[in-house]
Amino acid sequence: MRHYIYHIIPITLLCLSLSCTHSKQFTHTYYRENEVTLHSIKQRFKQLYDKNPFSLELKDKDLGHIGLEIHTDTVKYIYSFRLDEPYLLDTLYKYGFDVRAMNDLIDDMQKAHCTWITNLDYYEKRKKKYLVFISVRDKKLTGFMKPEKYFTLAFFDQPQPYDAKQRLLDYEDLSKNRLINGAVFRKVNDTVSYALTGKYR
Amino acid sequence: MGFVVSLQASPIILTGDTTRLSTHQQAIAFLDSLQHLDSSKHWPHVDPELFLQNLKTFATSPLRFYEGKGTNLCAYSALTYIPLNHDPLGFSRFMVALYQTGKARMGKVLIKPSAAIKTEAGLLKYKGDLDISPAGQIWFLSLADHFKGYLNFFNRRYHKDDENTLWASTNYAKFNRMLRKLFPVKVHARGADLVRPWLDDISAYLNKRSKVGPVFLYLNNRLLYKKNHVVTRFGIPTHFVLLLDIREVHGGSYNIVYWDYGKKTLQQVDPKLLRKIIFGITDYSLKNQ
Repeated sequence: MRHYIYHIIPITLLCLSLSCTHSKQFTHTYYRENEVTLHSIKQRFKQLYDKNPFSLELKDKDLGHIGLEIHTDTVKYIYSFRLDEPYLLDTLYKYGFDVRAMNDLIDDMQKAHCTWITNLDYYEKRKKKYLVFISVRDKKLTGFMKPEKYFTLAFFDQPQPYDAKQRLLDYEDLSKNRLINGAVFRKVNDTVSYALTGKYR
Repeated sequence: MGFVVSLQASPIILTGDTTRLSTHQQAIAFLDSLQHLDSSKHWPHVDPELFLQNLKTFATSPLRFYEGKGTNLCAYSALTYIPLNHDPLGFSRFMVALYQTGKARMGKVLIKPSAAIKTEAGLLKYKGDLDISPAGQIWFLSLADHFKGYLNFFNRRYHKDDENTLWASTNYAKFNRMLRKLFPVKVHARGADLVRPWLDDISAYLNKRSKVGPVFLYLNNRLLYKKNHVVTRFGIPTHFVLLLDIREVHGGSYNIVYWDYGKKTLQQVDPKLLRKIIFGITDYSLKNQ
């Protein structure tokens, strides 16, 4: 029996260490490989959002089931559709969305394995600002015996401050880290930050 | 789960929600009569002008009251519906007294926040609109500081960022206790923290109670509002909302309209999910009704 344990423990440790390495590699390569698509997603989303504030979710692994949250001044409407159902188009027309641009956004999100996109509001010196928040769900982030992780990206409109360890800082108090949804974000470039998190929103 | 595109969320009429101890106009008149508030030594980080502006917004747009992103303040936000709708003048007077003297009485309770709360109010950041609502911060932090339940057992004193931790959490009994102690109401509660209410037809019950007055729901939010793709079998409730409307639609599903995070939300749920997510149903009536 002990003979087996001597084999099982190192194999388990090896699997765990490999899965950590995988996550690290993913964060380094994913943005580089998908930069163009991600910026296209961000731009399309912002253009659509300016006319009709909304958030979009690709719910399942096949990316064929979507969640659409439409925000009016006082009411948030939460819809859930399969992409092969007619309801999505009907709803987009009803709310006056640019249907073609929305389809392109969904295509891009499927291509880049994005599971969630929204606009997050925050305040700096009492002024309201927004960042585009995108979550990526990819099987490469799921390791053996590890819960699912999401690669989350924050796109700011202005360059952001970072510390020596490339962690995002509070714009108004540079001695503090700036958390988004409770997570520490790190630098991709001056206006884009990332984190690996257990939640996609 | 498809949607009928002609869904509308309004108008919403809460048939039992008609009794007022004061009006929004009275609250505004009172706040206007103050004209100006001096800075308070009790709340060093609260701008008096912004505080007064917040109170006016609460009086004119009560459903914009916002608990902040990522916090555990939903229970305090949900119950704020009662003073803002039934007695906005009483609420404004209470808040001004709390600001000026550092303590104030509401219902059976003398709210006297600790020094840590007084220092923190006005400093909460990256919580969305709560950032620019020091009055909301004072109200939430003071309630969380005063009322304790078993979830707060290991974290009873406020430390920085505790609005996101168990320090601010509310179990079902604590929620109902807060209603009874803060407001002149008779509370009728069904459910518990870990056991769903024993009801044959939960939607019929919700329909019936919401005709009498507003209904608070204690929900398993991880099923209603998913944040990851983990399949949860043993859900626990973590979120309080105010149910504004429930209607059966074709196919046996329900359109529910609830209030949280400063907005009404309309969502379609099937009966199975509705039964699964609800752990507590609380309604109330004013004692003088």
